[in-house]
Amino acid sequence: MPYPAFVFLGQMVWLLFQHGITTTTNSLAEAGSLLTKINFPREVLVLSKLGQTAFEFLLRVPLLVIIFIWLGFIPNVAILLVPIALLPLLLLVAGLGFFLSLLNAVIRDVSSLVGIILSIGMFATPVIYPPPVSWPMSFWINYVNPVSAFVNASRDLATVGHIIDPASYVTSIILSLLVFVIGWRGFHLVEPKIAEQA
Amino acid sequence: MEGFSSGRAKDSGAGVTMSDVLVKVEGVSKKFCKNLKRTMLYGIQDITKNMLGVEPDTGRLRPGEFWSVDDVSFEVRRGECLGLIGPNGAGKSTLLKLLNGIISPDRGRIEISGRIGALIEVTAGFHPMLTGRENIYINGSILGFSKKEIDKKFDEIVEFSGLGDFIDTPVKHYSSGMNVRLGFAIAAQMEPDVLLIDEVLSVGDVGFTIKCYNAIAKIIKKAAVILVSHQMPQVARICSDICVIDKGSVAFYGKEVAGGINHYYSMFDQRVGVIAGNGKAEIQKIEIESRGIKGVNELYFMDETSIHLYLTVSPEIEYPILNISLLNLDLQIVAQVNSMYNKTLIHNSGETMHVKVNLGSLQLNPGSYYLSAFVLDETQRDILAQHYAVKKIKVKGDFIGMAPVQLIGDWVLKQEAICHEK
Repeated sequence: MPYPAFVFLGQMVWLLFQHGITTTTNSLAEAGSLLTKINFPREVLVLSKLGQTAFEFLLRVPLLVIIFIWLGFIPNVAILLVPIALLPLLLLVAGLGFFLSLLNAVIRDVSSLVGIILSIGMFATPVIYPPPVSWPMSFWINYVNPVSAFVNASRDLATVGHIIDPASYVTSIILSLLVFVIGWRGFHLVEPKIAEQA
Repeated sequence: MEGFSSGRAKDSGAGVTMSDVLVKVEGVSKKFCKNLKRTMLYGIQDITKNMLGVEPDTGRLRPGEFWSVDDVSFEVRRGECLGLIGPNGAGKSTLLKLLNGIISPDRGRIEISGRIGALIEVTAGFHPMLTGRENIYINGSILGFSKKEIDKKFDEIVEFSGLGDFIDTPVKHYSSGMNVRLGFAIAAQMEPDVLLIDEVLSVGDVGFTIKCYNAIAKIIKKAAVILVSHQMPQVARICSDICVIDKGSVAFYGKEVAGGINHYYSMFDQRVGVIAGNGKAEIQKIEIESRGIKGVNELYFMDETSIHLYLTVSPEIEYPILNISLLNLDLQIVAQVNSMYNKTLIHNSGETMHVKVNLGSLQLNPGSYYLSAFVLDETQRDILAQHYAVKKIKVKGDFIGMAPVQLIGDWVLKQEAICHEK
């Protein structure tokens, strides 16, 4: 796969994660008087930001198509499976978003800290470089970082049509599900206290 | 949420009884912390305890905490409207938040049956770039309407708001009054079982305010309403029950709305008096005489009352006009006695004068009033001396009326057919 397309596709997935985390973290803090004056399920705020980010992802698809055409690269038909393959990533973002938004509502500096960590995080994910094969880097980057598997999977589907390293992908799915369940449950338990603190 | 339960009111099929209790508040208390760092610390402690399933220690006050709502209990039935009044910072809005389910009580229990509607933040969710029409859907869904319900009521909402063609302009061009009109129009179409209102009726012109009162009156018939307000005339007009909150606890609760309002006023003891004027006259003393005793500040309903003024007026004004006004506790003038309108000329002697005006039986209803005295020139345009609200008079009686003045009527039962009002 030509390098520019390689990077652009990887970056699309990474941005889904980065913007997703950034916007959901801020969602409760931005809501202001909505939180303290009206009674409604607060998850809606977090999930709506997630929806916005997913929509932004889809908006970049035409750009990707233009880049493919310009480079003369015809992707494998399995590229159409990429949105489905990325669904667990949305769960990961939601779970982290639930947790971070609560934290940020009380301590507003959290969003700045999250921004800094994310900007470094892009380099710990195989966006601009191919996934490492040799130990120990392959372990840290491909397994410990759950976002890597989704970046890798989307590029795999576009090139060879199947996921090259299913083990890391499955690990990431399980991790995402766990984070989502814990995050959502925790959000539900903590939510009533937030209206007092925010 | 612990301490809070809500469910749909059940229709027994034989007709909903008008006197079912929709809101029941028992011994509710809520504490807050004054210090920011401590608040965060306690917040983290409470949240962690919540997550681990441990009961947080809510009974006692940790250092820096205070009870913002302290052991409040009341009940509201369908068809009743409870007025929640009290000084600023007494805990009224916190109580509304507890009722709305936004925060949960530390002690006590709240039981609400049916759908809760709130007129607290009427412009919630308005997006400035969208038109009024689109914002109706957004605001409506935040309040809990489904899209179908909004579609059904859409035309009524637009008509109630009175915005006409402006409904299709972006909300960012609306004035604050128009915003409230739109928000209120949406919220008023809800048919809640319990309605919470927090001082939203202060914006808006007279026409709209009347529309609001009518809308609320319609809702009261089918719901239990709790109204927080600082406008006593509004409370006296709408409410059937009253609860006065002072420093978090209930100071007065019952069906005597006027009594509660009096209690509210008695909590404020302010010197209001202003002495001014262009200096051409000076009032040395004002005295009130009732039942033959001079210098009183309290009298009884229908007492023989006179007011004595000791004053000097500059010799250039030959016939000054004296005006005494009585004000209610909202500083509105409720009665006046004016020497010119009473067709009396007062000839300025140039020296200290003692003027007495006999008011006869004073028809002021029991309550507290302020007294103002003015000395004016012959044209009533120059104020030579004014003592505004310098005296506070208390009228005592064995009843509490709804108006400042009690007209003495001669009631006769006539033997004629009586028309029954529908």
